[in-house]
Amino acid sequence: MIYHLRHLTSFRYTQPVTFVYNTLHLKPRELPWQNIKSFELEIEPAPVVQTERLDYFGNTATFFMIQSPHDAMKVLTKSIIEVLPRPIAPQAGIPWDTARRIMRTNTTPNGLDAYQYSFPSLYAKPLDEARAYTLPSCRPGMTVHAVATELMTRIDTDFTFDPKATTIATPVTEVLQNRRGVCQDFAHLMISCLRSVGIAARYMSGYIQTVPPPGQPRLAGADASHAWVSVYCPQAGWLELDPTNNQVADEQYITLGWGRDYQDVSPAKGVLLGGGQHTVHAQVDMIPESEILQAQKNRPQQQIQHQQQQQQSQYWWL
Amino acid sequence: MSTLTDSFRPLPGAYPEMVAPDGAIRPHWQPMLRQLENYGAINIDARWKRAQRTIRENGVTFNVYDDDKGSSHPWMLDPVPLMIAPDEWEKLSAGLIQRMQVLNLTMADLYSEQTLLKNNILPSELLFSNPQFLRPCCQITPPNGHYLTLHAVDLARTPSGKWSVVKDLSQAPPGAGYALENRLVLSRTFPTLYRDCGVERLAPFFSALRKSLEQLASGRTNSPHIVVLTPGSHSSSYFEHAYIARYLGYPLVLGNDLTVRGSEVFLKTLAGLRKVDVILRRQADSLCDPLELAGDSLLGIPGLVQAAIDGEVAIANALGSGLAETPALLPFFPILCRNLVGAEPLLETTPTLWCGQEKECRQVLDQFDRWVIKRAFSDHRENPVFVRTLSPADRVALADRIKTEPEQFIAQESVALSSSPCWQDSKLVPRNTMLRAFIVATEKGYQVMPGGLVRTSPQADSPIVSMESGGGSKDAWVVARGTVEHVTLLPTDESAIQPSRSDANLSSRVADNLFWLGRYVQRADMDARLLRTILRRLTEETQPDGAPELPELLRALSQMTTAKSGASPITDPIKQAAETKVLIFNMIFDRALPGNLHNALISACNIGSTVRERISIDTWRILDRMNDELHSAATDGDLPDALEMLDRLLMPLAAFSGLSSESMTHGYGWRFMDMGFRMERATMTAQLLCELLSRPASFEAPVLDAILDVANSSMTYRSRYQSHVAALPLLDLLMCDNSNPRSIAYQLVLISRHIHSLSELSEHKVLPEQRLADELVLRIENCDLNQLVQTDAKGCRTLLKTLLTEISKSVQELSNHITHRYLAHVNATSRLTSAYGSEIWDEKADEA
Repeated sequence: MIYHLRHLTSFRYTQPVTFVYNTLHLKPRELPWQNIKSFELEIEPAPVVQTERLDYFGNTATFFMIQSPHDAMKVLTKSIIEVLPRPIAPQAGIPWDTARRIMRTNTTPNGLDAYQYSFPSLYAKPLDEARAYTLPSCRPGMTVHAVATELMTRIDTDFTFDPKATTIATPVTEVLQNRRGVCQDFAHLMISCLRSVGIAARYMSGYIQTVPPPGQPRLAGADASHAWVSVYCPQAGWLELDPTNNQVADEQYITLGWGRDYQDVSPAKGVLLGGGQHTVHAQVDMIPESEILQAQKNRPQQQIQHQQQQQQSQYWWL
Repeated sequence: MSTLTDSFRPLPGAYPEMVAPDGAIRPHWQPMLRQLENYGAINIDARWKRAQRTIRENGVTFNVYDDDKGSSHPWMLDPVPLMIAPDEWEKLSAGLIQRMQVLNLTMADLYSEQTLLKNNILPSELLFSNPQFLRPCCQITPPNGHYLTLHAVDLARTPSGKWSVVKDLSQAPPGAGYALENRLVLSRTFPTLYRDCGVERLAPFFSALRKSLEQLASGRTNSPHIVVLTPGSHSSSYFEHAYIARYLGYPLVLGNDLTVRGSEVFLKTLAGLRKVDVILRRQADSLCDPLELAGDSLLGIPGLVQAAIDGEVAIANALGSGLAETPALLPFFPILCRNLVGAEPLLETTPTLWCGQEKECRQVLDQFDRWVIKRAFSDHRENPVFVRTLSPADRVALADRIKTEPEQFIAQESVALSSSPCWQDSKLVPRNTMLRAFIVATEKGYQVMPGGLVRTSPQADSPIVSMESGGGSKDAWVVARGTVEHVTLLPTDESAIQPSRSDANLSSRVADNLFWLGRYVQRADMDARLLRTILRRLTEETQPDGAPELPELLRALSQMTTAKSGASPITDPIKQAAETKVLIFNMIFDRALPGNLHNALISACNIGSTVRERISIDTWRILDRMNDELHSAATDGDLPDALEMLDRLLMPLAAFSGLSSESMTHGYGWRFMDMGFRMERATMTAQLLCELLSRPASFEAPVLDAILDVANSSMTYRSRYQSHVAALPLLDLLMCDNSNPRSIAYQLVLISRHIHSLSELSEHKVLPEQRLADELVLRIENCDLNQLVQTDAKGCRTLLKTLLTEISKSVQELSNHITHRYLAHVNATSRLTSAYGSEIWDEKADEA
């Protein structure tokens, strides 16, 4: 599937801001199942510095800095991406309770890379509560694959999608207690659960395609940033699960990058010097190329939940 | 050998530093002890008392975090140095150098290839569960491969006499500055002792540090701009930061003084932005860049990591170097050493086990009593726990914690520390002793500070030596072989220094702080004078008709020193004695009253402490004395006690202005301080005159007398007009006479002069504040006093009131101009301070 992706993030301040320091994780990651055919990044007002680097996890991070007074800022990315089916996740595998032991003895570069995702991180710490929630899905002999898939389904059943319930700073414990949240909360919760029983899991940042109800036209800007989870099944590989929609990630998912949690790959984080309040608005269009070519074609599919347009702000004031 | 050592008994079981097994004094201690003997106990005591006063007055302090009072403790120094023999020092140095080398290589590997993990040299958990491993720092390549430029190692000497490493300090190793201060105090107090012992000097170490910092910028510039970055005056070793900055000759800066523009780092100065090439940082990684390193905190310099990645700034020690001081790394040192330098460790490490390994964890729990439990990663500030001292319940609780999170703990064998002699109650007593050694990485190799910071336990039986737990410190003297080379940090090559008179590179924050230091000192002075005038009238029977001006003075006092006067005005101070006393004491001591004497003095001292490196030691002592005087008076004493305190307090206040005008170079820094001083005096004098003269009583003389008293101008007045007191000549003297240093005109003339001088910093020709200042001077010099003293039908001097109010407003406007032009973007705490000042005034202005 080839997508034309357009992601616009607009920032508006009540008082002019002179300095903005930003780190973006907005460039889709090149992967065996994901070809980046083109990518453009436009920032307004024009930054004085804009540099790209590969971060520790292999994602592209863009640092930029604006140093002229402005009361609005726009970050726009436009890309054309081909998403292929992901390698089929193996059903067989090792029992969940041997995962940690196997991982710690594997000091190959891949083994080490996977192992690091079983350790606590700022937003996804292993917790007693998370462990208690996970244990019913950890029956003797179950594979890592089976545990993770069952956990995903339970989260989807037990938790309500509610954009008003949480903010970026809402801890996993609170999400567990209130049983409400958005994709990011469910991803953090699931990672926390898996880590607390010794399974490595990473936070996936990207987009998910929404399909309009049958007979209705696609709404501009209705697609969304999305977060899901990738679980490491030792000896088999990574398995991408979306607890928000209870499904295995497929060609509907575009990957920006991954990290231990949101903190490592938040699409845009920055520090502003200036005064006043600010609002952030995000607009994502993820249009299949086929649809652009045959504008009228509709395919009925299940409605997909996604994060609301109004993004939680990741900006702090200095 | 001598009477000093006759009664000395070393601690049982510990290695005695001074005494050999046969009871004789070790040879390398003998010359020093002989000299000490020559001074004699009485002389030692006397000199030491003096030295301790110097330490206190120099403000050598150590802030203790958990202290409720938030106060700082005076630095405890012992007059008897720890002597170290040259052979022994050579061996120790070689071990320290090897240690720093290995840790530096470890950092380089873990932040890039991680072969140590791939080859199973280090368990990967050690890195992955380590909060000090900062992934954004992997892209930084420090110049010359120096992750660590300065490193410190805590050493203990075991009963066998071998030195053993207890701890590494690599992030921003503290203590080198204290070691230097200890050396200076000791050598000053016992000059012959120091001279005749042939001790290795410390200066070469610091000159190596300086060279090494300069080299970090090599390839980019030949004359690097180097700054010392401190978290601020609340940091436990702020004294040291200021001290090192002053000694090395670098500006001391806070995070807010620096800004990243493009991918370069700049210092905000009065003259604009000045590029910074090297940062000697004295703060933790997590305080350095809120964008990349801080989690969800806001502290630091946004963009610093990117600037370091781009190689535009070098940071010592490199960002991320907290990793090297991970306590859980200690047990792995031998294997790292073999692997990275192909040699056996030259220095022992205190036996340590990391509980993150199964076998080791079991071993710890099996023989639990043997161990001292510490946190495995250095982000936790927890005291070590001696398991054998725990109650059975606490033991179980601790064991449970270890079982739940084994990777978070290490167990260290408790070391019997060596014992060395300390001077107490006029004799030598034994104390547990540890040595902190310092190493610097230079282009030519590593160099060890010959000496170090020695810390001693507070009591003989205490196993903990730390400044936090009330221990003391000592100097360490390494006996030199042959003659001692004299090295000074003053440049020897005269052509290397370009004469420079400008201090335009003064950071905006420092200028802002100096400005407010001036304002607060002057506010305290005016508050104290007004209070003294009132107290004199309350306590002394000077006038036959009592003191009719008292209610007026009390009203003026409440108006001038607080934003709101809640209580009803006092109409008869004699009858309302109790209320009056409460009012006066609140005006002096109440911490909650923002505009009073207490707060002005505390603010002055606090600000003074943040610009320590900019004011002379004498000026600092004066600030310290003000603080002492304030605290010397009982807050529940009598009025005469308070009067006496005010009399004493006015001395250092007067000394402050004298000293600042005589001993500070009259550069921009001084101009800002003096401008603050003048603005406050002009404003408060205008307020005083406005309060007391705009609605005159029928018999005005007592009020006029009081004003002259407050304004310290009685003498001048009487010499001109004898005892006839009237409003017109008084206004001439206190408002218009620009030869009277207490008059408003005098302040305005000086303010105007400062403003003109500062305008050299700006590219514009004539600045609005220059015009405003000139107008103000003209206006006050040309006002018609005859008209101003006239009262209207309601008995008010409306014209006078208007003029004085406008003067105050204009001065405030000048202050705003200055702030916006030179001091913008200074840190938040300063901004709060200035807001507070204008708030008070605004309220007054609204009323007027």
